[in-house]
Parts: sequence; C-alpha cells; structure tokens
Amino acid sequence: MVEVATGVFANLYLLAGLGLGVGLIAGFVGVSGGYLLTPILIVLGFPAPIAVGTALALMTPNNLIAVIRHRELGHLDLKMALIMAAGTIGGAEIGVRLLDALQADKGQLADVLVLGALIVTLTGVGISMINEVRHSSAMLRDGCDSDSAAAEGEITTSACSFLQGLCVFPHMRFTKSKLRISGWIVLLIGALIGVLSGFLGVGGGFVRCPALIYLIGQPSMMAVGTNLLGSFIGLTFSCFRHAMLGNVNLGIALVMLLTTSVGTQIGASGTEYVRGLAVRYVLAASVIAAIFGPALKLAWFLTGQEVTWLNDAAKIVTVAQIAVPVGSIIVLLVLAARHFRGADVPGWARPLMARREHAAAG
Amino acid sequence: MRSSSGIFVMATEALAAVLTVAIMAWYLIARRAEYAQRVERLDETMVGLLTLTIVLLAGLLLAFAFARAEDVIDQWRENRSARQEQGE
Repeated sequence: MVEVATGVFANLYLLAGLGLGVGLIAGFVGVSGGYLLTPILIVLGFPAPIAVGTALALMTPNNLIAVIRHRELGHLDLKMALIMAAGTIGGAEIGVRLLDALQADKGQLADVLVLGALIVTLTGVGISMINEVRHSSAMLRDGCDSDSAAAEGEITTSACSFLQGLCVFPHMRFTKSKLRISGWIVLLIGALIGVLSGFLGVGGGFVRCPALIYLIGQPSMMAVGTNLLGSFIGLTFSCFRHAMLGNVNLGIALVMLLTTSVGTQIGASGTEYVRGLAVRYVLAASVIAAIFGPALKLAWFLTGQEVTWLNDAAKIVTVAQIAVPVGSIIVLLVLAARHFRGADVPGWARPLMARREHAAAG
Repeated sequence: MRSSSGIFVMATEALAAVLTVAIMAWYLIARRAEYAQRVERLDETMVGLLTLTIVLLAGLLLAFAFARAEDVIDQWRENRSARQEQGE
C-alpha cells in the first residue's frame, strides 16, 4: 500500500494491473484511455483533482509514444490539429480553473460533479457508438464492408455538410483533408473538448475523433493522426496546469505508465488481426461498462457516504469493467490466431476477423 | 543479417531505458515526502515544468525502449529465416 494523497492509501500492484488492462483496451481501440483511468482512480479513493491530474500525467507520455509511432504514417493535417489544439488549450484552462474552484469548496462537490459529468458524457458517447456499431453490423450483413467504405471515402453527414457550408470568416481550406470549413468551428470544437480534458482528465479522443469525422468531415485515416496530435498538445497543457496546482502524484503516474504503455503496444498490435467493426464493438462495450463503477460511487457520495456497500460495490464493478473488455480482446485475439492458422472459428466471430493476407502483411 | 552481439546491445539499450523509468518511479514513491519538500521551495510554474519534463522524458525513454524491442524482434526473425534458408 502506498500513500496517494494525504491519508489516502492504494494498492500499487492493483493500480499497476489495472494500468495494464487500460493500456490493452486503449491500444486496441486507439484512444488514450482517460475515460477509464479517471473513474478508476476516483473509485479507488483518490480525491477527484488528484485523480484527474495523475491520469493526465500518465496519458501525456503514453500519447507521446503513440505520436512518435504514427509520425511515419503521414496521416496528419497539421493546420487543423494546431487550430483545434489552440481551442483545446483555452478550453482546458477553463476546465482546470473550474475544478480548482470546486476543490476550494468544502465537501465532496468536486468528486460529485466530476463523476456526474463523466457519467453523462460516457452515456451520450456510448449510445451514439452502439447506434453506429448496429448500423455497421447491418451493412455487413447486407454485404457491404463498412471498413473499406470508411477507408476509401469521406463520411458525409448532414451535420458536416451544414458546418462546411457556414461561411463564417475565416473560411479556411484544409488541403490535406480536402475540405473547406470556418476556422471558428474547428476552434470551438477544440475548446469544448479542452473543457472535458481539463475538468475530467480525459484526452478527449473518444469525442474528438468522431467530431473530426462526423462534424468536420475529415477522412477517417486523417482523423486518427490529427486526433493524436491534438490530444497530445491538449494533454500536455492540462498536465502542466494540474502539476502547477499540485494535483499530480508522479510516482503513481510513472508506475502505471510502465504497465499501461506495455498494454498499449500489445493492444495496438492486436488490431492487425481483427476488423474495424470488432474494435468498435470493444470501444462501445468499454465506454458503456465504464459508466457503472462511477455511478455506484456517485450514489455513495449522494447518500452521505453512509451506505458502505455502495463504495465496495463500486470498487468491484470498476475492476470488472476493465476485466470485461480485456477478456473480450483476449477471446478475439485467440480466435483471430486460430482463423489466421486456418482453423475453424465460430460463425459469429468470422465477420470480425481480418482477412488472412491483410493480417500476414501486418 | 546482424550478429547476435548487435541484437544483445539493442536489447540492453531497451532494458536500460525501461529500468531508468522504473528507478524514477521507485524514487518518487519511496521518497515521496523528500521530493515534496524539495518541490515546495520551487515556484508553481517551475513545479509544472519539472513535472512535465519528467513525464515527457519517461515517455521518450519508453518510446525508445519499444522501438529497440521491435528492432530486436525483427532482427531475430530475420536471422532465423536466414539460418533456415542456409540450412535448405
């Protein structure tokens, strides 16, 4: 047991193990994993500002590793990433100040509001992901491969047609993304994600990536690189600000970084053997599963911290919410290995496996 | 085909980078109070910069370690297939 804040102790091995699980999920689905990390730390007893600061200090270097790995792919619209990052920095400052003001208030207001905002955000994102996954599954059943459709062309939604059509000065051309949109819209989306980053301790990838694809109309592959750089700049700033306020437990962040980064590498390698639909299934499941632990912890705070089983249940559910997606990834990878060797796999798993020649090339 | 001593050097470099991060983490946990006392004397901007430098340095070290580990695996596979071809 190590002291994580004044009078608060946590099991280092449990934190390291959970870090490995979060890394595996984050690497597999291609996000920084803040939506899993911050609730875990709060549920395990970290005060909300320390949980947010420590999660940011862990995700910043983990994101740097991903940026270094992806720099060779060239899937990056630097102009859009920098404009969005400017908005993210402004928004993050608002989020950090908001959390600092709540921390100054007596009681558990900061914990309650961070948990409440996390639950609302995750529920919204989770529902939209389930709809998208159901739509993709239906397309696959009808014989249309959604992966190749997304990879070959841009996804044009009515929202992105509307936003691209808004002639608000400066209406900018983004040559690499092959689109024209007002700089203010990009800045505003960045700012909203920044508020989430500074207040909730998340990288914002699970919001930024869909926003780039479905609101701005960026090609899917370009959105991945742009999101990574945008996340990195936003995370660096949020981490710096939280460190200034003394909200970072560096030792815990570094221990968890060691295991999380290993998990991320394994998870990222695993994506070569499955289709995008399998990745989106795991992402949707992990986002939905991440709601239950914080919801129980929030109920514990709201009942005046008197119903102790709610707190215990929150801890158990939090560990389980990591175990379920990790178990799904392991099952998928075992089946993919069997499929790759030519062995028979269950019928439900076949549409989720990558083509053999694609996996061999990877 | 690279010699096994080359692979050994790359593996050692990867291990050294990971060990450096592990030692940093151990120091910050075992000597938390001492570190907090030292940091207390600094201006809060300096605390922010110091923290950011430490986490980014750890990130760079781990990125280097993973790159080296990948090189080791690639070289090992290359050497194994070269040996198989020579055997045939």
